[in-house]
Amino acid sequence: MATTACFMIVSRNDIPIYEAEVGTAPKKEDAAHQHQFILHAALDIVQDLAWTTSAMFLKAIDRFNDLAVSFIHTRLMLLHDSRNDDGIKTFFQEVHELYIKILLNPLYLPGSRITSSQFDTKVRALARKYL
Amino acid sequence: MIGVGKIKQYTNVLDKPLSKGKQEVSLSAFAFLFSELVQYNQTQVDNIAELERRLEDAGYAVGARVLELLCHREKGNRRETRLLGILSFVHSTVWKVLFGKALEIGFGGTLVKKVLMEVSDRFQDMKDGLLPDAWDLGEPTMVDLWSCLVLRSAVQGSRIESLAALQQMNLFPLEQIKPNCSPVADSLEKGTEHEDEYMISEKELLVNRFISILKDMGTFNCGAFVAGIVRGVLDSAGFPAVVTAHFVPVEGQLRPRTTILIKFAEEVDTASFMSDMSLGLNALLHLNLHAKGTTERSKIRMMFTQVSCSLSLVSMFELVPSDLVSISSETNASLFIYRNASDVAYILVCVDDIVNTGNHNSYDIEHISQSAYHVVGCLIKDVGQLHDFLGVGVN
Repeated sequence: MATTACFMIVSRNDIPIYEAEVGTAPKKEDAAHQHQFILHAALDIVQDLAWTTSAMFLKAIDRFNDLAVSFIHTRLMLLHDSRNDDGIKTFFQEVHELYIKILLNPLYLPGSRITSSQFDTKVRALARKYL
Repeated sequence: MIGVGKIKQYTNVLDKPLSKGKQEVSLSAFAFLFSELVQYNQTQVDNIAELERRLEDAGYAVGARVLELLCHREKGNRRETRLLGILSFVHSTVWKVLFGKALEIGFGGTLVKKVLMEVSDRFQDMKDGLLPDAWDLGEPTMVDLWSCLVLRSAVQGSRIESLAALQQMNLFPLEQIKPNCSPVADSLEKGTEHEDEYMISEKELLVNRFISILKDMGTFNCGAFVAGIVRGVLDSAGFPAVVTAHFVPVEGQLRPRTTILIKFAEEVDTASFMSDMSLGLNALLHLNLHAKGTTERSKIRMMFTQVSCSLSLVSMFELVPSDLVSISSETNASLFIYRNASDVAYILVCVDDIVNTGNHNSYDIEHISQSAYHVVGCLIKDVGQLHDFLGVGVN
């Protein structure tokens, strides 16, 4: 089954520092913009929710048609249409670990774009595995 | 790489597993590296303030990373959303990882015990319900301490603003609580003068251990680096604060202590105040469930109403807690006076009634009931003009 999934990491100032279309569905011309738009709209909800709960992983906080937005750690967001909660959670945890490794690199400036191609490859591999 | 032994070579940092953080670091190596950091920065600046700022920035970068790493390593899937939570995270987890020891709690554990005992004496028949397991008397944390104070103050029908206020209540022997008491151990304390200030006090900060300051350097303190780390952690966790390091001379000791002063931004303060209050509310709700006699229950109900109304008033006036002190009348904890230029509003909270008067018409009952509903989820009904109060007719 073809799935749609868009993964994004935003910095503290709500600026996207990494994004990837990780779904298997064939790409549509306007889809990328639409996904960005939905994720951006969800940022407000994330901000509101973040102070009401101490849980890291919040699933399906916003919906758009059959797409749902989940996030972990308030920075890592995923737009998805799959219902595989466990898979999404594991995906988030693994990616978060990768993100920490990037962050711990003293040459990486926190809040700047993640340009590492290794990171990109690994995220896509994880997406294939868990989503 | 002395003493590390064979390390498997990874081509990419992403392949390497995250370290467990158990390795020890040579103190001399660290001191040498840190001295190089200070010396390098010293060549780049013309004044002391600039040098401190640069050190703080270096620390900030460490702090932001430390938070992220420790969240992953230590906390499982939880995130701190409360002020005291993040503070206790700083003084226990962060300090332990960075400097190998956790800080003590400023007020001293005896106070917590006293508060708990006093409260539980008061409600002896529901002692079991009152003390949840988390409040183990063995090792109280900062959070426990503050929740005790909130509970205590809720019981008293007013909020304890500071140590000084606690002293005035005269519930404990005075010598037990001394503001500005300088405990022997390194500690985290709440500021005595300002609600939103906290202090971390260390006899000998690791970064200052091998550093002596030249006379012409004035008040320069290498602790700025640690202050930066604390700021990095707090800022990244969403609690913006100004953090500074100071030397505090101690009598009878050659070297001064280092105090790291944390001053939170205003928004944080109000948020934490609200959560303190709602904590008190929860405790009261808890009491309400366990209360047995009717008198007991009505007593608790009264406190509940008072606390909840204070809470809604705070949210309504959008006050910072310090303003609440000035509006709360001295003689009556349940009378709130709001003054703004020529506008005056009096709000009296009595058991489950609210009497409201004044020329400030925007704070009518409608307003109160809405915000009360918002904050505590209870409904308030407007019963019109006051005609009868405590059995006395009113015109």
